[in-house]
Amino acid sequence: MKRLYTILITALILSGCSQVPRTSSVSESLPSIFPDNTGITVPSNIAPVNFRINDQADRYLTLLESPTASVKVSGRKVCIPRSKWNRLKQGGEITVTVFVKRAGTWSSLKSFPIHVSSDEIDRYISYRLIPPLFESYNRLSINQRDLTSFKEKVIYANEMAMEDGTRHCINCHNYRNYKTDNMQFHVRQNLAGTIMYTDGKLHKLNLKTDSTISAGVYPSWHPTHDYVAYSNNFTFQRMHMNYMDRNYVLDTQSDLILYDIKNNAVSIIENDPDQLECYPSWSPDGRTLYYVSARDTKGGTVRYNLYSKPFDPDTRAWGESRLIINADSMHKSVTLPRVSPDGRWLMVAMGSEGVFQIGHSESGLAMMDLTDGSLRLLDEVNSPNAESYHSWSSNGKWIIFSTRRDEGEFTRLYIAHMEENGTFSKPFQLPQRDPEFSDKFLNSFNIPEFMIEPVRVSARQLASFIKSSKAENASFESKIEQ
Amino acid sequence: MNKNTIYRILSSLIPALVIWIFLITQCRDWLLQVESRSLFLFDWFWIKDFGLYPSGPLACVSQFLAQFLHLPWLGSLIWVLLLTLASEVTVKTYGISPDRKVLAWIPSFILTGANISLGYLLYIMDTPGYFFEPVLGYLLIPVTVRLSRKVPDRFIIPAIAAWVVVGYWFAGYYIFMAVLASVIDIFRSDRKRKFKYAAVTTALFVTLLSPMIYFGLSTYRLEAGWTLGLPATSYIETRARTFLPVMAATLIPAVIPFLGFLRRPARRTVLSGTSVFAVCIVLLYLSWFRDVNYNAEIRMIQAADEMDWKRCTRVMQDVSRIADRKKGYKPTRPMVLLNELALIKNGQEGQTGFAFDNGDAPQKNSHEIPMVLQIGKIVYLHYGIPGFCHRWCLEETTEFGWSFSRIKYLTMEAVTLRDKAHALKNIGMLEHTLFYRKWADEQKKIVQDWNLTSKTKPYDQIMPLLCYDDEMNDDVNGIEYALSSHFTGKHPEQPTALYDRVALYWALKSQSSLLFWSKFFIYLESNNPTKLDRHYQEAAYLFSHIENNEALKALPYDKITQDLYDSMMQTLRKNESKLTSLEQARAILPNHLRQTYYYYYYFVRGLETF
Repeated sequence: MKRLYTILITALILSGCSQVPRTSSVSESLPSIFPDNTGITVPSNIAPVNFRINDQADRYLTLLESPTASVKVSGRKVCIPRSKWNRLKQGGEITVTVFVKRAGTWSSLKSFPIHVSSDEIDRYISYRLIPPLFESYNRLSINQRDLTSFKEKVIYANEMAMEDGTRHCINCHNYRNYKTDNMQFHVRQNLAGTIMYTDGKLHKLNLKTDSTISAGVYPSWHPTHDYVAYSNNFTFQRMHMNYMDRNYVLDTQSDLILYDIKNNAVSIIENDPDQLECYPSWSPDGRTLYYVSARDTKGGTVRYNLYSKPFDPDTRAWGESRLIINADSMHKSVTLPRVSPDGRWLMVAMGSEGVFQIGHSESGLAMMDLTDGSLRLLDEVNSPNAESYHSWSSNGKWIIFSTRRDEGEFTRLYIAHMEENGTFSKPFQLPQRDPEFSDKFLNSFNIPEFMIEPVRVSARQLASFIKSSKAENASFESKIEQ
Repeated sequence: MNKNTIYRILSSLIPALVIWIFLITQCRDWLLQVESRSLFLFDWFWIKDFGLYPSGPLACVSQFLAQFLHLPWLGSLIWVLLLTLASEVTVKTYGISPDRKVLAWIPSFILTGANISLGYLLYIMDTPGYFFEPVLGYLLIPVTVRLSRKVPDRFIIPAIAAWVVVGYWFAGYYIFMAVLASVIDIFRSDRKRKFKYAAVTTALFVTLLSPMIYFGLSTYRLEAGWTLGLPATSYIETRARTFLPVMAATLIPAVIPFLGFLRRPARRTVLSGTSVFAVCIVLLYLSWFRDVNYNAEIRMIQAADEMDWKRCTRVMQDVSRIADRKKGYKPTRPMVLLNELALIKNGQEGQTGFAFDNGDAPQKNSHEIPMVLQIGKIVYLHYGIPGFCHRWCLEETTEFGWSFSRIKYLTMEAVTLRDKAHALKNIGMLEHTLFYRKWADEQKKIVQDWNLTSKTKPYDQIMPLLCYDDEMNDDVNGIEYALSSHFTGKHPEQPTALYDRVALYWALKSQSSLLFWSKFFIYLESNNPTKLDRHYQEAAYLFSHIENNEALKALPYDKITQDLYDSMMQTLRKNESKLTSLEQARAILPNHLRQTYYYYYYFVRGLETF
């Protein structure tokens, strides 16, 4: 009897295993899959890059092979078990072959590779999840994702501290040197303040002073000293009446400030009344601040150029600003400068105009080689739709960026590998357990930031702190005469 | 079958029948609006999110049922069946005498009243399962009591603990009421005293603990944990209106055990039953939000959603008839705007656009809701401003969640912009619905062949309005301001005849002769009308006289146009000495003069929009 059971169970297991079918034809065309993972390069520590086969067929079987393992997945959704995926990745290059059965006959579609890079990616990223909103907002959260798995955790969700009948917006999470011992984000409107976690303590700050136009907005932590550079912005939106790009965000005023954490004091970096300065970003050595600035056209087309400004972190002395990219002369606008950790590459979002590129379908990423000043659009990364916010991984080998390439409305995150020659591999979508996630998820991802460790404060701690604390006013320290 | 048996059967049937007939005859369009503001997708990816918060599963079931309101007779039938079930289970659970069965309908009447009394809160409800959730939650209460009676003494503590912990995730607030009713029932049972006290202690302890358990796993506020599952808006000041009726209904099972007379046969069964039933009916009627303008708005919005423009105008006409009888009646701005849109769609704006009551009656609403959140997406889409339609669909979605209607409008605005990816995304969602699948398929065909837009409703009347160059703008939350500045501002370089028609109408609305003449001649050229519509004649006649322009005075006006003008002037001159205010002047003018552009120009001033 026991033997009979063993035979039956074995037969059952064997019948469940998908065998590679004998094919009568081999197609020369690649399978249509979503996300398009054909020919991508993935880090060795990434979660499985699951995908869905779009080609119509009666049955599907996908064979993933590498020198170290072979995995068969049946069905239209190709969800690769994590342990098998890890074994596959050890082989360095994975070959994927999709078999489809139509009218009783199996055929195989052209195989494609997934390259596995030995360059690891930072284990965590964080992003804000928001509905594709205009002015109203309701439930928002800043989340943390473990890239080696599909685990996602809420860092803070605004509803956790929303008092009855009131709401608050949360934005601009930022970390120092990819670590979470120094982090910040803003709470706007109700319970407002900049929430800063430093030295194991939480602080709520009001960075608006009588001498500055607003509280801190877009931040950049100084890599070596206790400073954070912020922009101050007065922002509003306009809507396209009859065009696919739906909204247009612009500043009516903006300046740059430096926040000195130890002294809880704010000072001006740039506040030219005729210029709109924005998006400060430190070089890895902390001796240069990059930022963008545009002439205030008072309602006309606004195009931002890129500047750098030398800084001595010990004396807090600023040098003269220098024009780095004259985008206006090219009828372009550059935003969001980010220097690679090795200090060689400077990546920006580039569009035809404006400060908020995600709303402009023509915008894409561009990169300057700081050794020779050459600038190029990253055609291998860009899509016909918008690319905008981007971050370098701590080893400088990967970038993550926000894009609306999938369907124009919801912002999704893509990752690309930087090759030795300064080019990028084909980007791949942030892996999801369900390959249809991107099709169905009704929130946008924004501000993707790499982290090498998880956030140290719990969401409940943050909620309770935000609710119970009053914002400490920062003092205004000095004003650089322009 | 004796009299009492007949009465017992009728006491179940008649309340159900009364509520059902009331809902399908009086609330048809309202039910459709409830449905259009809900959403249920047959998609596990979407459904599984309901499991992430306490009361989510109940909301999921409720939203599943709400989709059947798409067929109002069916949705309301499900509603009354659930009410009947609730009353029957209550009768059985508490051993209510069959003679007094009708009393078990009191919670059902309250729950129905809670829904139909929502009024303008319908626009801002942000608990999507609010319609069916209370009755489903109520049902759990007698069911829990019955189940608890079957649990042996020694299992009562773990049973209560498990039921509260699991039940709280399933039903939120309602499980607390179920446990309260059960504990009272246990206390009045003949169980041993120690088990009674243990049950009470356990119930109290677990009730306090449950929200905390889930609090750690979810992102809601602990304070909100006690009321999860109750119908609510985002605005705290509306809570009493949405919470209290449901709380009252769900408290009734806890009170029933103390009303011993319910278990005794009634002496005058029919009389007492009938009187209770009559009181319920009266209360139901009184709780119904009967405001004329609100109900007209709902009917007009529904007609606009169905693009039945004739019905939209008919509603306004019906209300106008009431207006004749009710002195001082004014319609609301949403009514006026929707009616004008309907007239434009029917090509009647030039003939009857100013013949309707115009007004700015305040909405009977304690919490002001901007008009753009009520009708913004409809008006902007059909006036050919898809960018603004998109914006307000998303503002509504952000505030109140995704819904059938919002996805539909997002699809339509994407089609008008030929934004394939965006249209397909929304169509993809509607393909997972029960009642919008067919509509989604039709839209998909259009997306695959854009030429169909010129032959398909509503695009055939929207696309010609998209003849203007895109610009970036903001409606500053004011629809009328946005439409007026759009149509009376810069004229497109290559306008269509329809655009010129609409622009002329808005020029008339602006009461500016300058704007009128500029749009009038463009209109004459593109539309080349064989006979000028009544209001256009009136405006031309009026402005030519005001400006004393002999050439324009000599246009071939209809006799009635001149007669009406003369009649109005004579009436005013005759009463000149008596008139000290616009109000008095308005009052002396007979109806046929009030239906002219002359009247609009002189007497409709300073309307407040919102």
